[in-house]
Amino acid sequence: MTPKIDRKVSPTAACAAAMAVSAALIATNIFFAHHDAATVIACIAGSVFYCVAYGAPSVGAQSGGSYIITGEAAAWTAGALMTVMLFATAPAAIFITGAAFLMLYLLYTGYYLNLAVRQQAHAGLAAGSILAVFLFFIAFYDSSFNHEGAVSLFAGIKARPFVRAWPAAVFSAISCGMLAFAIFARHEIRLATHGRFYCEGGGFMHARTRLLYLCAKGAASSCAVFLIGWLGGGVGLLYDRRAPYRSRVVIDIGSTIAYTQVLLLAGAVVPDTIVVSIAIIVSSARGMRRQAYHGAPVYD
Amino acid sequence: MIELRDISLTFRDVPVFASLSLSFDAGSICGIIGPSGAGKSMLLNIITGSVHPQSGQVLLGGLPLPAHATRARARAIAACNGARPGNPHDTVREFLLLARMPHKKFLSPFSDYDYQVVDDYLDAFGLRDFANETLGGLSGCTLRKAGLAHAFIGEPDVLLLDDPTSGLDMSSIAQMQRALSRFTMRGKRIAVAASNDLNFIAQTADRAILLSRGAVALDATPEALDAAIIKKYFNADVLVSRNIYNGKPEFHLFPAT
Repeated sequence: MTPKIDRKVSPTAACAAAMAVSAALIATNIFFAHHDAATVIACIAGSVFYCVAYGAPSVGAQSGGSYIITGEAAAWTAGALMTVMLFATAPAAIFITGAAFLMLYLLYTGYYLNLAVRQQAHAGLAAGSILAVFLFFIAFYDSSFNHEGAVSLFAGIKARPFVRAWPAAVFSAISCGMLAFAIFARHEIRLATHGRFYCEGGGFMHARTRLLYLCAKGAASSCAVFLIGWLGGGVGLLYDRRAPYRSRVVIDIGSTIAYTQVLLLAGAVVPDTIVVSIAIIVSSARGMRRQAYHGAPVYD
Repeated sequence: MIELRDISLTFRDVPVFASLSLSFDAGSICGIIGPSGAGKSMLLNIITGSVHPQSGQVLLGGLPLPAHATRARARAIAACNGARPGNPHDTVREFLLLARMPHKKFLSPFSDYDYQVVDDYLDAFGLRDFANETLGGLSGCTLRKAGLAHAFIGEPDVLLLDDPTSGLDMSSIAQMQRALSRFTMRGKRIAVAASNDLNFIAQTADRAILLSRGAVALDATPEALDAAIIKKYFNADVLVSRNIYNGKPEFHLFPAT
């Protein structure tokens, strides 16, 4: 059996710390960094969407990597970039095209190819590389290329001027609804992640269940990329699985919100390009750490 | 009761079964044996409904299998075929609890009884110390025991075990034998185990079905298995002795020369 490091931190203390740190960072962003409250709320909603998509309530099969690792963020951004360059700059158009690209990518890799966690990371690397080459090409050869606009897609809604109170409120309500559903349906979602044999043994049609699961994940993931860009939690998810369920959910959500708020705060001091670069590095480092210290999960 | 009626199946252009008929009565442990490729696992897959025969049907409680709703079928039949759980982040207890899924309503929580059944089988399979460990950190033997316990915890009418002793140590095999006896003790449930482990089948099963070339070559009590049958169907020379406690046959290979 793999030896484990015994964590002595009490789940209650970890819950309190995660909530206190995220609350302090939210207050700092609003009162000291002078971010618009709607922007901060939209970022919180984006973090909650991220937690729903990456399995904080249910521990999904994709929980091994963030959307940067799996390539979903790259797919969304590629769709959004094409929309901005060829069709429209309206946020709704960007969101719909980005979501369509992400959903197609997710269904292709997760349903049609049915990739395992490690293979999904390889696909993510390929998707990220294609996006990087595409960006490099148009940045050099297209004189009308809007550098700031492109960066704003990576940095999420915070870099856009259209953030208003009502979209932030609507996204917050939807994120809370999805979180509540994911908590209630956590056993069913987990069953779906165990594969066809166990899913059908539990009384569910595996193909349909997996399709529904991927669609819901894609919707939550699309909202997350739209609201927080590539700044979704590279840390936080999957707090010690032996801790009580409620504590785990609170800790995961609190730490993910705190992570995004830190990057939002950093965005007030340094350019967005650097903030996005930090997010990519942290996500990649976390993915590598999982492989290096925890070894490949047995089912990779 | 479960009944297979005139089952014919061709898999990848190879005929597996031709008009196979079998029935399994409640309260018995039935062992399916046969050389590799005889169709032992395929037979279990047909009973679970994951493989559809070209002709014939499986009757569960007198009704064809497809006539049962998916959840009702999941409540009635549980299987363990060595499939690895797909999510290594689940703890053993969380994974085992999922076996109670067919017994609960959609989105509702598990009942106290569900937790109690899980606790009972954690003890029965010696998994109590691993209850809060994640599946990804378990040894092969412990993961296998978790898979077996998962099948028992569903409390089905029909329990199907494919090669149940594979990867298990001796104490784990003994635990499973006790669990199997307890499972069929009240006379309302059926256990079917397909295995290459002839000694396990001989010591555990009430009935042995020997499959060969897609047909039933022998359907009798395990006591009927002798060296001539093993030589004929498994092409192996064995010495058959009798267990001093229950008189059931034990098979010993001769030392390699």
